[in-house]
Amino acid sequence: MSQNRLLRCLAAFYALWLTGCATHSETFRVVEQNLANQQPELALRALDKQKGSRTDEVLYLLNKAMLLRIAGDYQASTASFEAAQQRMGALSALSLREQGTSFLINDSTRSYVGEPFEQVMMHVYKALNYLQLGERDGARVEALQIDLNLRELGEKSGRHLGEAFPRYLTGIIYEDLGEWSDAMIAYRKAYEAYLQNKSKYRIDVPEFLKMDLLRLAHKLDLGEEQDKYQREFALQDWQDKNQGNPEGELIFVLNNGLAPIKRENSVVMPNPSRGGLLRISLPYYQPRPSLVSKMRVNAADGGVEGERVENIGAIATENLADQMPAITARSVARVVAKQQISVQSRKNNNDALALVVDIIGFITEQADTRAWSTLPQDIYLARLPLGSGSYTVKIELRDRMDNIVTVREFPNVLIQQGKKTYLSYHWISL
Amino acid sequence: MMCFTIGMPRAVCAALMAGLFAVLSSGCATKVERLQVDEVKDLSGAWNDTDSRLVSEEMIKDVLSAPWLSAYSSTHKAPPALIVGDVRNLSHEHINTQTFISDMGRVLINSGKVQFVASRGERNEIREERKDQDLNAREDTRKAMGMEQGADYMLKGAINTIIDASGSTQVRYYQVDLSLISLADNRIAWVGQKKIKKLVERSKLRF
Repeated sequence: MSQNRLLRCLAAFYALWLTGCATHSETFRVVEQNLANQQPELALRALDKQKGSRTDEVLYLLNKAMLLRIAGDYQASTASFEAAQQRMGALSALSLREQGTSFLINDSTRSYVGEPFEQVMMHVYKALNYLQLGERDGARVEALQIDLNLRELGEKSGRHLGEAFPRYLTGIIYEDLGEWSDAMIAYRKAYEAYLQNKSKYRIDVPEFLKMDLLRLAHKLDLGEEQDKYQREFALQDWQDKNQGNPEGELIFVLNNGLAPIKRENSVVMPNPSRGGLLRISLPYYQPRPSLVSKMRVNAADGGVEGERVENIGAIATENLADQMPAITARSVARVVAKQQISVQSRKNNNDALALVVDIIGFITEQADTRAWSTLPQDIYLARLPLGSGSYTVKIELRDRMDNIVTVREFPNVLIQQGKKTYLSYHWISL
Repeated sequence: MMCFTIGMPRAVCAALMAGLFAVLSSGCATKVERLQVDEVKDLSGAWNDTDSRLVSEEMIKDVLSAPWLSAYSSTHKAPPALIVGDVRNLSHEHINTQTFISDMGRVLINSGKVQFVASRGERNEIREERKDQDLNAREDTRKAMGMEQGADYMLKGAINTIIDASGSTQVRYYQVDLSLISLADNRIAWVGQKKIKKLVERSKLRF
């Protein structure tokens, strides 16, 4: 077969393949569009229609749980997270069959188990579900799971991405339950993580965390540590700021935007040794910066500026960069293997088989663009001390130029004496 | 759909699909096997029915043989009335504590040595019903308000866990503590404890 005809044939097959088999991130677009239109129910329906193979089950369950959260159904969301967690556990073992198919076809044929940071974030949102339902002991279970998860990850890779906010949240949970020393340990670890990743994720140590560290160090009689924090934070007068002993507290979590989306980058080049085409497809993250970069939470007369506490976009990008060498190696090995089969069949004078192998090899070389993309781009947190009673909580989201993007109201928020009340909102626009 | 892209005739495609479906469905029919409730079947290593049963058996044995019961009966005529308070789950898992608590309740009540009064949530429901009786029930069947029996002891407790994990191996340690606190003077009359330790080795390979 002449080179020309082969090329035309390949092109035709490629076109067919693209229409029939869009990558994951392309098909997920409908769901996101519904979310941006503030219609989580429609998004859920669209997601259910896409419920794909068993290999993508974890991804489906994670996305579903997130959509249910946005729709306000925290119980169902927790159930979906729980199912995802169980499936992850079952998938933690290595499958030789999947390794084999991924070597022959592409990485998308492997079961999706969730990236390590996604597994931690799953527990974070599960914990928030429990907190918003007022089940503090349930949230504590998730806090312990976060500890366990981060410990295992630390053992495996020596470092873990995006540890700061999960640690901070566990601290809040422990403190809410009156477990001061556990809370102190969690706050300390969160502080270390914020310091370490400050430049990388462009996130400062939240002022709220500084106050928490000072307050608990004082409460636990850790004089030296308290002095150290006072010096480091330049907050000698922190106790004045902490005055007024609030009866309750509102904790507002803003999930801002959507996590970056994985796209495919294909390089098609002529095979230098024997003609034909070679294709290598690798994933990359397309950032989706959110319009919102400031948040203010107002209730009654008081109000507080929110702070950015986690940059999931940056964590995801770094996580992929860590894996890129392995992904590239697998992709190259795959192309070489397919070439070998083709060369072998040509040697055996089986040109037809060689052509089929070439074509199939070419069109199946797709990047694995699966990612938990209903996670937010970043997370903002605000802590507002309030007396007990019922409030209308107003949040104001602003862009970089300080223009108001949107204003939201949450009526009848009940603040109880000596307790924390949790609220969250996911702001999405495309 | 796949067939169409390869350009296979519709009929052949349908036949192939039907065949494939037949093969798959025969292999994947749901199978149900009935188990004895006391049969030990550990699947994931998480808290399960066996753990719950072990805890209730141990606690029942302990609470009925402990000296608090004979001490109470020697000074009072009626058996002590218990109420179930909060059994906190401080573990790494979402555990339903109701199962062993109701197991305990059943055996204790049926032994005749102990009485149980309804818990807070249940009481509210009963009071609603009594209120309704006040309006709607016949005089001689109407139950009066304010005649509830107060509990003498409250059963409280917690489940704690310690998990030590490395790679695919985990040691899971559960400790269930229950205590019986006298409502009259906050005395702790009885403390029961059950420890469970499991070694869980997750498979490194799967199909």
